Parts: sequence; structure tokens; C-alpha cells
Amino acid sequence: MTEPEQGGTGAVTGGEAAGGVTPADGDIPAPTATTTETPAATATEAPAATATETPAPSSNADDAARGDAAPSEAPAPSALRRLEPSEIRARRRPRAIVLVWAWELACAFFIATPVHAWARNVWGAHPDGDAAIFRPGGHALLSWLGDEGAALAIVVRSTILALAVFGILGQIVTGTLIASLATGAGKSGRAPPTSFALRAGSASFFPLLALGVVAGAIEGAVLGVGLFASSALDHALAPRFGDARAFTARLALLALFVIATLVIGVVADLARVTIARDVAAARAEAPATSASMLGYLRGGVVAAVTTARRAVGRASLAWGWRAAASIALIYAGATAGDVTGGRGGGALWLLFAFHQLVVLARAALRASWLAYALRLVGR
Amino acid sequence: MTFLGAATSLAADGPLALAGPPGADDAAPDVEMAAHAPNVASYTLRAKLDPTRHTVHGEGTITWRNASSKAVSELWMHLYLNAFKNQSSVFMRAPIGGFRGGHIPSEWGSIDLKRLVLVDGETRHDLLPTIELRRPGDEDETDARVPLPREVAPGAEIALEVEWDDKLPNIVERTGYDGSFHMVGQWFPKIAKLEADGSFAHFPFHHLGEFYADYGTYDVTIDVPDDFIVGATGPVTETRREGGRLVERHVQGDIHDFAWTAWDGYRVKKETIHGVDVTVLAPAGYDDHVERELETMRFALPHYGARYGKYPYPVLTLVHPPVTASEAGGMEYPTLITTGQPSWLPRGLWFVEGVTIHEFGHQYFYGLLASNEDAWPFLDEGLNSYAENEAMAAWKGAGSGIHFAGLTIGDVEAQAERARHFGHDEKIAQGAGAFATGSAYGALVYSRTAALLETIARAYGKAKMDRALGVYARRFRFRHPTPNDLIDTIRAEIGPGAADNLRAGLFDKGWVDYTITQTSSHPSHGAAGMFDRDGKRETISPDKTARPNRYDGSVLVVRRGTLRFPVEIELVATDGSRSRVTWDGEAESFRVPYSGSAALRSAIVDPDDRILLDEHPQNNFATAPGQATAGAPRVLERGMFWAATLLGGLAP
Ligand SMILES: [Zn+2]
Repeated sequence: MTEPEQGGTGAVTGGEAAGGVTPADGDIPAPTATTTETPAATATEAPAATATETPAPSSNADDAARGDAAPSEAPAPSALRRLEPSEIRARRRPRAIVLVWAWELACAFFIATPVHAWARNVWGAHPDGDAAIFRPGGHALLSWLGDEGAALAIVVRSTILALAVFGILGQIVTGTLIASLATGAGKSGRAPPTSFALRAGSASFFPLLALGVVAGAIEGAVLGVGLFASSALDHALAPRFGDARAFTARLALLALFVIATLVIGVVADLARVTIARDVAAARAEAPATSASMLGYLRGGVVAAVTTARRAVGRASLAWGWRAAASIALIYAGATAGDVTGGRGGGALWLLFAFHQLVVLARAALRASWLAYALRLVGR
Repeated sequence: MTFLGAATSLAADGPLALAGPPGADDAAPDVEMAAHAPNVASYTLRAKLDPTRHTVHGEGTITWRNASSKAVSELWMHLYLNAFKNQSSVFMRAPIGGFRGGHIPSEWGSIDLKRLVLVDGETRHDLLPTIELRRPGDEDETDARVPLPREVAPGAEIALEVEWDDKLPNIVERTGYDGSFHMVGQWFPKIAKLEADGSFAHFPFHHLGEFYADYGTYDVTIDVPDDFIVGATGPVTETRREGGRLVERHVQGDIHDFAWTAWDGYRVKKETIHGVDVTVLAPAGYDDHVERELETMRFALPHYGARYGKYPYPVLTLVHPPVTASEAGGMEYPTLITTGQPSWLPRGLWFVEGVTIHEFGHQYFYGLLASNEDAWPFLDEGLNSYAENEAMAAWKGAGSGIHFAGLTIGDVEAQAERARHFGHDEKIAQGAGAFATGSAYGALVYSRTAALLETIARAYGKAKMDRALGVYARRFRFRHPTPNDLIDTIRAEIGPGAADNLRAGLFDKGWVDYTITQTSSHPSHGAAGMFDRDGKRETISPDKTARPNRYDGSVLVVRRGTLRFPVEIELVATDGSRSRVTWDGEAESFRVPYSGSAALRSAIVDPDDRILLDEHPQNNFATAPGQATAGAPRVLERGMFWAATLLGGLAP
């Protein structure tokens, strides 16, 4: 199942990130260098499962996996180039996918820290630890959450804040992933060094953030209009058709607006890949030059709109099936959590492994979608 | 294994269980149960609805018997629709939040008496001129005094002719209209309950208060436009359509109130369940809810019958009001209950079932056990909430409140959480009007009573509680039990400890918090030091007294508060072995000695969550100093998965 060269070196980037999250108390399924090996190996498989659309390109792409593990062997940046659309494949960038996963793992540890600290403080001394709050019936859980104290507010606020901060910083990771997908070295288009991809990702941070803000505002506005319109429809229909049927109509209308919002998100992704690709390409082919943030933003939006005009259906479909697969993965993760309940020990470690596989597989799906978007946008 | 299953088997097998009576279905105690109620206040009424003006014209006769031991020279009559007449009513004045119905009606409601005549053989006395609607300095008109021209001797009966006009308010609490939907409750002049000592238990309609009345027979003829569907107390004995009107006559004995509804939007579904003709009236598009309510009744009718005695009426009507009239929902009247919840509510969120079973339970704790709801609201709402929790757990298991999206929340556990609030502020056993807020009323009367009873059931054995409430429900059927009747039954059937806890919990703001304040062990050794033995002084150093592979220690359990429940304490050693001891909970603290082949790691008091009323389950355990805690790895794992999921977005 594993291609030989992945096992040893794939852990390097993941291992670095994971090292920082090893918990102090040792009672946590800590991500270690060992655990990253398995997902790293799987990462090469996950995108493969998505490869039905196009046959895999030549196998020597995997040489690149060793790229920045030994910087002395890395190709000179000047050898980097922007890849032709037909060369862009997520499956050729397993290390970038693992990097995304490692980033999410590290963020997840930070985001989960407030609630974990709180739970540990309250339930840690219980003979069964926090298994108490997983008991059916929810006696301990309700008593804990209903306790009149500041902890809940502090945990909720700091968790939301951490999510927001890491969500914003995540633009760099998205940019890095796109840079890694869109550029390559040598004739075979080997993966660029991670350091290059990271620098390119960082350089695309502000344009991507600006795009995110603009797209988010448009999506929010469309959704807001949808909420308002569907509510108005509900109220208009309820006296005549009854509240149950009016509510069904409300849901149907709202669904149209939700679909519109998702399509806007797809178009925004087309802009996203264009921006991050252009930033990376400029750095690869002419490191000294740098266009303005607005220039990249404009270029991205124009390319996205042009592409959408020609292929919005194809793009939405390509995004849609990956989205469905992604949601199915989340559902599987939730169900696994449900089944595990308050069990600890080996069952909890198994659950951790499965959950992280889900996170990794979703990162691979995202990479697969971004690669498709890059191909669709073209040159 | 369901939560209820766990509680039951532990109660039966655990060290706390005494002689174990048989299972739930055999709980029917050998207690005499009245077949009928005494006929004290009976009403033969005709009501005509004008659905566009939202008025009801009523007329008829009331026969009333002085069932007390004293002669009576006045009557008290409740005119409760006047609660909605103006903002000076007791109802509208109450500074209450956090409970149902907080709005001011946009259409006021009222009841105007047009005729009140005492028929005394050939003589007719017009009582209208002497009626006293208001007390000096008070504009409330819900509690009228009616002086009588002559005394009514004990056992004597009188007849009154009445005629009145109702103006229904738009629904703010329980009764009124919404468009063409009409829920007509508290709509006729009703004589207050006469107590045995000759006093009337009369009271104005209070925002938090409910009702209290004598039993009798109701014969009510309802006249509505013929495109309307009527739901009402008691079975239909006559139906006719004439002049574009539908006229339905409903007759039912052994009840103490009558309510009805009329709407041209109802869909009707009928089913005979356990010998009872059940009718569900609901808006269009609520087919799934109708089915869920019928499912609930298929479970509840036999379940409550086995526990509290057979449901004695031939019919039961379930009214699901439209969502815009949801304030009419969640209410009980004899043989007619109103349910609720929006159409989209999925199964797993068992609120449709919960409200249906709760309101049905009121057929017992209100209908058949007609306590004074104004003076002792916990007797109906509290006992009924316990019965609801018990039934939902028996039916749906651990997730009897919510079993959805990975959450498994019990109805009774949710109740226990609410019960922790307001417990030190006010007592449970007080009149509805005495509560400072609707939130306190709800938390104490419903939740804290239910959690107190559930705690007693779990601490002393559920089978005993089943039997005790079975005895109570049968012995006081068609009567008006008081708190003492309940406490005395608990004392006789469960024991003095349970009764004392119940009384303290109800009347004295009783509370309890078990906690572990010390947990430790050390390698075992004999006594070291200087000993004078056989005329010689011997010094023994500690290392010489060591007993290899043995550990000694203790756990100190403290009971805070005024309630005293027996509890178990579980001791956990470092080798994973566990042992339990039982403490009667009488003293303020209890030291549990420990001796074992491994060091003591941790301890927990009430490991099976029997003391639902425990103020602070988070202090029920401790880990010995120097021992590793079990930590919270599950929360970290789940937290990390969901954080990564949120970070990645739902889709790529
Ligand atoms: Zn109730």
C-alpha cells in the first residue's frame, strides 16, 4: 500500500509540527512522529482514489517527495516553473497534503486546549476521568455545563477566538498548498521545496485574505437575503396553507439561496487558486518581481469570472462530489465517536487514529479540488 | 442497557435495596379505588361561538351541593376570562417572567354575567344585583362573591340559572383565539371548591396559578359554524347540523372542568387505544406529529394504567394547536389535552412525546387527584413531572429527552439540572402566587420536585417508589389530596427516612451535597516507637514494622446540607480493583477505611448518580495525592477532531 520512499521521509514535515503538540500530561493520544508516518503513507492513496477523471502521469513525480528533506539536493529555485494545467495533480503532492494535515492537527490541539484544560480540571480526578461526562443520560455533562461559573464563557470565547485566528492564518496554508500544486521543478514537474511553497503561500496571504473577506461578504449577503426572503414566504403562505407546508416552502427557497452561496464559494476558489498560483509562479520564474496585492486580486477575480462563465457547472460538480465525500467523512467520524462513547485506552487511540485519517482524507479532497480548479482556470 | 434499566437493577441488587417488591407491571397495589367521584358541582350548559367576533354566548344551569359540614350563606364564583380584561387584573399585574404567557393581549378578553338566578322551588332570586365582583381597592374581577338570600344547609342542593357572554382574548396564555382557531378554557362561571370546613378555596386567576374545583357532571352543548371541527371534554352524545351550524353535545361525569376547541383548520385522526377512543386534532402537514402522539398514547395508556390505576374515561382528545397559537399548547383539561411543537422537530428530539405524555399524566395528577393547584402546585406539576420522567425513561431509555446527533440526554437528567437552580431561594411547597419569578416556579415546582422524587426512588429503591405512588394515586382517586397525604403515603410505603427527606425537600428548602475531602493511603506498617514491655523498653523503628505489599489509608466523605440519603462509596486501587461500601448518610461525615494490596488511587461517592439532587456532582470524587489522575483524554480527542473539522470547513 505504501510507496517505499514515503515511509521514511514523509514524516519529516509532519513530525516537526507534531512535536510541538505533544501534551505534557501524557494522558492524551499525542500525535508523535510515529503517528504521522501512517497518515503520510495513506496520503498517497487518498488522492489516488479521486483520480478517476484523469489517468495518472508519470511515476517519477514521486522523486520530489524527497525534495526539501535534504536541502543540499534540492533543485535551485530557478529550476522551478509554473506547471502546465495537464501536469497539475494532487496525488503528486503528498507532502503538501500531509503538511496541511499537520497544520490542522497543531491548530486543533491549540483550539481544543481551553475545553480540555477545563474538563481535566473538573473531571480529571474522577476514577474514570472524563468518561463520566460521556455517560448516557448526561447527568454529569449537564451538571458541568449548567454550573454557574465563568469557565464556560471563557472556554467558548477563547475557542471561537482561536478558531478565527487559525482560520485566518490558514490562508497561508491554502496558499502553500496551491503553490505546491501549481509549480514544479524540472521536466517532470517535481514538487517544489517546502520552503519555497511556504514562502509563496505567505506572500499570497494578503490577497487571499482580501478575497476571503470580499467573497465572505457576498456569500453572507446572499444568505441573508435568502433567510429574509424565505421567512417572508413562510409568513405569506402560512395563513393559507398552514405552518407545516409554509415551512417546507421556506426550506425549499432557502435551499436555492444556499446553493447560490455555495456556487459563489466555488467561484471564489477559482479566484483563490489563480491568485496563489500567480504569486508562486512569479516567485519561481522571476523571484525579484512582485505585483501589487490589488493586481493579484484583480487577476484572480477576472480569471475566476471568465472560467465560471465557461465552466461553472463543471466546477460546481467537481466541487460538489468532493464536498459530499467530505461531509460523509465527517459523518463517519461523528458516528465513530458516538460508537466509542466514553471508552478509553485502546478504543480511544483507535478513534484518534480514525479521526485523524478523516482529517487527512479531507485535506486530500481539498487538494484534489484545488488541483482541479487550477486545471480549469488554465494558464 | 438503558439508564432506567441500570437504576432498576442496581436498586434491586445493590446493598441499599431492602425487600424487593416485584417489577413495574406488578406494582398495582391492593388498594381500594373509587369508581366515581362525588357529584358536587354539575353544569348543564349551552355555548354558541361567533368565530368572527370571537365571542361565546353561554347559558344553562348549575346544580351545587353543600358537601361541607357547615351551612353556607354565600358562594364564590370564578370568572377567569376577566383575567384578560385589563391590566389591573391580578393576572396582568403579576411581575412574572420566565414562564409561559408574558404578553399583553392585543384583544382583551372578558366574561360578562347577564343572568344569575337562584331557583328555590317556585321562588326565583335574582343574584345579579348583589354580586360582589371586586374587593375594595382592587380592580380584579376574576373572583366574585355571591351572597345567597338564604343559608344552604350541609348536604342540601341548589340550582342556579346562568347566562353570560365571553369575549375571547387573542391567545396570551392557554385560552383565546388565533385567526379562526379557538381554544376555549376557563370560559364559564365556575363555583369555587368548597372545603370540608365550609370555607371556599377561592382565588383570583394568577399568572402562575392553575385551578381547583369540585367534581360533578358536565353536559355541554356546543354550537359552531358547520365547517368547524369541535374537540371537547367528554364523549359526543348528540350531533346535528342545522342552519349552517354544527351542534355537538358532550356529556361526562366524574370531572371538575370542561374545555373545548373549534377550528376550521383541523385534520382529525382517531384510534382506539387500550379501550379508549383517542382523537387527535392537528393542523394540516402534521401527520408525523399526529402519529408520534398516537405512538405516545399507545405506550402511555397501559403504562399509566398499570402504575396509577386504569384511565376511567371512554375518550381522550389530543389537540395540537397551530404554531401561531402555541401558547394554547401544553395544557390539560379533563379528557382533553393540548400538545405542541413545530412541524420540523425530528424524532430523537423527544419533545412531542414529552409534552404529550406530560399532559396525559395530568389526567391523573390533576384530573383524578384534584389537588389545590393554586395552593400546592407541586402536587400536580411536580408529581406529574416525575411521572413523565419515569414514563419517558421506561419508553425511550437513556436518551429519553434527546437522542440526537450523538447526544443522549435523559428527561430526568435535564430536570435534575434545572432543579439545582433556585433551590436555596424559595421553598417548593408554597402557593403559585408566592413565587418571585416564573423561572423559580418552573425550576422548583416542576424540576426540583421531580428530581427529589427521583432521588428518593434511586436511593431507597424504585420498586418502592412505584408502589408508593401507585397507592397514593389509587387511594386518593376522585379526591383532593394534600401534601400530608403524599408524605404519609411515602412514610408508610418507603419509610420514615424517605418521608423526612421529602418533607424537608418540599417545605424547608432541603438540599444535599456529598463530597470527598480526603483520599490517601500509605505502605502498611505496625506501630513504631518506644514500648515498655515485660519491664524492658523496646524501640521499634518504622522500617521494621513494614508489612510488605500492603497499603492502609482512608477516604473522608462529607455530607453537606439538610437531606440525608444513603449513598455508596467506591474505592479504586492502583491495580484497578474497585470496592464499594454503603453509608446511611445520617452523620455529617464518614471515614471509609482502606486496606489492600495496592495503593489507593481514587474514590467516588454516589458512583451511580442516584442522588440526582446532589448540588455539585463535580466534587463527588478525589484522586489521592501523588497518584496520576485519569485526566480528560476523551475531551481532548473529540475537541481536536471537531476543531480540525471546523477549521477545514464542512466541504473542501
Ligand atoms: Zn403540567
